Formats: sequence, C-alpha cells, structure tokens
Amino acid sequence: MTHSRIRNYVATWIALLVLLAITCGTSFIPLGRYNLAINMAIAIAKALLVIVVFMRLFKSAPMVLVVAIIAALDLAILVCLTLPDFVVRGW
Amino acid sequence: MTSANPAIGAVHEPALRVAAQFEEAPQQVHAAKLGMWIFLATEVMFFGALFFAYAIARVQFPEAFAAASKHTNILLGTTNTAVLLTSSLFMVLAMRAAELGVRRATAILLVITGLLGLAFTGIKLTEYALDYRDHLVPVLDFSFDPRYAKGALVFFGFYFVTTGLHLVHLSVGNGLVLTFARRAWLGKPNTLADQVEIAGLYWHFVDVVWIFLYPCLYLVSRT
Repeated sequence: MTHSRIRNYVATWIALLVLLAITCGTSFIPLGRYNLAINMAIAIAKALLVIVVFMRLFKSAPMVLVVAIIAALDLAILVCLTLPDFVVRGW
Repeated sequence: MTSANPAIGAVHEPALRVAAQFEEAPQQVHAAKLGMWIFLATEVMFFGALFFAYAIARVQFPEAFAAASKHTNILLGTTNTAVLLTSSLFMVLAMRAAELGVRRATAILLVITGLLGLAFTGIKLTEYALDYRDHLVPVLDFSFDPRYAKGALVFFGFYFVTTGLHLVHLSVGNGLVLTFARRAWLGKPNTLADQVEIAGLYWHFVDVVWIFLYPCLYLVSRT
C-alpha cells in the first residue's frame, strides 16, 4: 500500500519530466500553430498530474472538490466575459 | 464523525488543542485544509487574470512576443522547471512520511524540498542578472530591435511581473517548508501531518503556476 503510493509519486514525477522534455523538444520543430497547441496541452496535462496526484484532489473532502471546481469556473467566467470585449472592439 | 474518515485527517493524539469554534479536532483539521484550498482558489483568480492579460497582449503583438521570447534563457528556464517538478516530488514524499509519523524522514525530505526551492531561486536570480546584462529589463535598462521594441517591452514586463510574483510565492513556500522541517526534526507538534500537507498544497500550487509560465515565457517561438 505504502510502497505502491510512493511508486505512483515517482512515476508521476517521471511523467512530468518526460512531458517537460516533449514540450521543450517540440518547440524547436517548426509546427506552426501546433507548437502552441502542444505546449498548452502539455501544460494542462502537467498541471492536472500535480493537482490530482500530488495535491490528492479526489482523495480530499468533497468540499475541496467543490472549491476547486468553483475556482476553475470563476476563471472561465473571467475569460468569457472579458474576451468578447477585446475581440469586438477590433484593437 | 470522529477521525475514522480518512478524507478529513489523520488520527490525532488526544493532546491536540481544539479552538473554541470547533466541535472536535477532525473538524478543525478539515477547516484548515479547506481554508488552504479556498486561498489557492483566490490565487487562481490572481494569476489567472495575469495569464489572461498576457494572452490579450500576445494576440496584439504576435511577432514581438515571438522575438522577445527567443531572448529568454531556455536552458536555465527548462532546468528550473525540472528543479521545481523534482521539489514537488520530495514535497509529496514528505507529506507521506509525515502521515506515517516518520519524523526524521519528514524533516530530511522537507529540507531537500527547501534546498531545491533555494536552487530554483538562485537560478532565477542568475537569469535576472543575465537579462540585465542583455538590456532586457524594462524601466532600468531596455533596448531591443526597434521593429519589435514596443511589444518586447510588454513581453518583458509580463516576464518580470509574473516570474517575480512567482518567486515571492516560492519564497513564502520555502519559509513554510523549512519551518516545518525544523518542527519535524524537533518532534514538537502532534499535528505535523496536517501542517505538512497544507504547506504541500501551497507548494504544489506554486509549481502549477510555473508549469503554465514556462511555455508562455520560454517557448513562444524557438524555431
């Protein structure tokens, strides 16, 4: 039990370093807009690994999950309400 | 609702003092952890607004952001990312050791976490010094290819504000980690596992912020 948890943590760390190597490596290959897509997808994957495994999001009390979801939704609201302003004004 | 629920907290020795507003120790621990998560939610707003402003500026100055990003030090930036990810591994191992009640191991793992945090700080400050040498510090000394100067100024404004605020957060984390390392070594509190876990939540969050800063600052355009 204990050892499998520690193995999980180490495996997550290796996955994080592999993802770092991929995001850094691919940024030297000209892929146009896909460079940005890869970088963002990998950043989100790394963040989720840290939040779910290291911060134990799903092993925390249910209220913690509620707080985490509200934080994500608040950020989405911030972006969704502000972005149209910049898009529509044309500057 | 005693300490049987593993989601709420570790089993406590009876000596734990419970503050007046709480019924029992597990409730107090639950409130403390929830409090840290709520604080981190406010930090999401704080850094989220910065990232959003960055995105708007990048859409307005795409070429300048690409040109400016080439002047960041990718070797030091990538090394620092690896250092921080590794520090998070030691932090989570310290959390586990504290849960299992292995105080000395907890202290040593926390010290390693703190040393990696200090290494990150050292590398970051070295980078700042190199940026200053290369005339990339807005306000103090900034000169850039005139075609991109305006956008590059905005980019390096974001670079110093975001990495600077991140570094402040990391320094706070370093203080927490080294304080708890000392407490773990001296074997004082009976709430060590919960304290280390709460410090760990903060530490990992600071890591998550850097995970997004890294591609936004160092990888805009490398080809």
